[in-house]
Amino acid sequence: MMGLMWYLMGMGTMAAIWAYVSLLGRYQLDWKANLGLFAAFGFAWICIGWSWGSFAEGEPQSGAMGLISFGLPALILLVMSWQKFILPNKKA
Amino acid sequence: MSEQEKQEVDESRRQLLKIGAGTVAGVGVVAGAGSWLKHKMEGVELEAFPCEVSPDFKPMDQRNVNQTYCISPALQAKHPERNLNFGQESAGPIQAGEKPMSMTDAFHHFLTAHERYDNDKLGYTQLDYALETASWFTLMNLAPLSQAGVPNQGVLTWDQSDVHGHQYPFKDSVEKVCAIKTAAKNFGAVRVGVCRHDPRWDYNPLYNPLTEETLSWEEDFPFKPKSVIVMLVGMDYEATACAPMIPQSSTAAMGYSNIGVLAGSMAKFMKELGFQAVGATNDMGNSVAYAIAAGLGEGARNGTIVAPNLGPRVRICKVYTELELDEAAYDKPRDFGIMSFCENCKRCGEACPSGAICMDDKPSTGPTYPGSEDPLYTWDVNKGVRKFYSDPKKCLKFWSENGGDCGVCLAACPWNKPDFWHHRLIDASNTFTGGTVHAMMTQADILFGYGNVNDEKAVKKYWQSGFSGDFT
Repeated sequence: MMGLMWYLMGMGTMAAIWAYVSLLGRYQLDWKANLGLFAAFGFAWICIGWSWGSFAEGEPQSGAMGLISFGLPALILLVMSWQKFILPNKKA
Repeated sequence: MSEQEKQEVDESRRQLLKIGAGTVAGVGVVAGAGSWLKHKMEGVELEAFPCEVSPDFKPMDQRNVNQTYCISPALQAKHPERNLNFGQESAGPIQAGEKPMSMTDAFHHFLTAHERYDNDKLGYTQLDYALETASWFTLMNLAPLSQAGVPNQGVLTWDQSDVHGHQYPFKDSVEKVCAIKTAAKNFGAVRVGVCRHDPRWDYNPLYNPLTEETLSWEEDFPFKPKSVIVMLVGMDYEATACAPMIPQSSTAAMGYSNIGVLAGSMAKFMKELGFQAVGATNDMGNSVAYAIAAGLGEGARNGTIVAPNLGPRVRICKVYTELELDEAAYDKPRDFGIMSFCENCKRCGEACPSGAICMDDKPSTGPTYPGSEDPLYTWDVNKGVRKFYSDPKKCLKFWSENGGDCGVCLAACPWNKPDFWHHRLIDASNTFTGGTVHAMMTQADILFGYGNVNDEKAVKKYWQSGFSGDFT
């Protein structure tokens, strides 16, 4: 169960790196965009790891709290970084 | 190549350089932080015992240990007042006109609780008590009542007639430590440490409540110990979550049986190597102090050891041996940030159904609970070490009423977590944060649903935890 989680998170991390490189080609990413993306990735990573781990150990309340406490900030940061710092800086 | 193409190439080189530099810096920061965290999580080695010990501190006289008194008719006859100074109603120092609670009667009521099972009371059924009795069975045959402090029992014998005539020629202390720790792993220990024998933590004099003998280290104990091997075994997380109901008592009982096996096997191992040795569970001395001295954890607010990754969900045994190590080879006490966390977290004290656990902000060198100024009331307390003092009489009262040995303080402790990575993340952060952050972590622990007690769902869940099939 946890092995599958680490495998999927490894795949997810690679996908995130690939998406980031792809973004670099299309947008001018300043430090605010980089910081926002990095923080969103960190929160999302902890969200998945925490919630999956909590459900696996049989603590659903912790799993649900993990989704809210880490998933929500990840989503907000991602949307905010996209709207404010990435989208306006499209390369010509 | 056109000027625009050259600029594009330069731009992508710059981007590549940025990514490269960022990656190197990131890896450096993560590696640095990781090694610092690892150092903190493994515990910062201390030169001396971490709790202040008063200059006038004396080792605990075993005749003043609560359970020794409860088992010994001679001690009860000598000190009848000890059964009369605790109030049944007030659960504290007896008030005028109040009926006393006899420690002896309470202890015997606790010991016979399995005879009063109730199949309509979840967590206290014949099934639950059958598990508890079966879990005690091994220790009660290997070393009966050693858990209540009775020394020289069964596999924990003081008899040294079977020590091998030839001592194994260890080439140095490193080889000795490797052998001991590997053997401990083989016997089932989850942690092991070796510290110098420290008479401060021994019961002195020792007392056998079954034979009513007072025993001295100099005349009755078969040798002069040089080292103490301290080992921990774990307890089941899901059973502990049932506290104070009987599945918790069962995992504690199984922990005792396991430490009986562990201490007996390690003592025999040392004897086969030609070194005198005696194993002990709760007998002989203060297991928590020895576990701290051997660097296995820190003393917690609830009076137990809290070990990294395992929390308070462990049982401790020790083996006294004449084998000696070079000073550098002994394990040293370690600071894991646990005691500092305990100062800001009172979760065990808030959960304790008997109010036995100290709720002070800082530890002290003597008890501070009601009655602590009266030596007749605090006969079962050994003062002089800076720590949080619990009232053992209140604890025993609840054991008797509950019909099991509670364990609420273990279940509620924020360090009591199963072995999942996200708990190690929090443990890591707790080693370098403090004050308000620790208090916040305690609240977060509650919000995230950990440390519940009196949880009937936990009992149902526990009794299904050994079977992974479909229950529908």
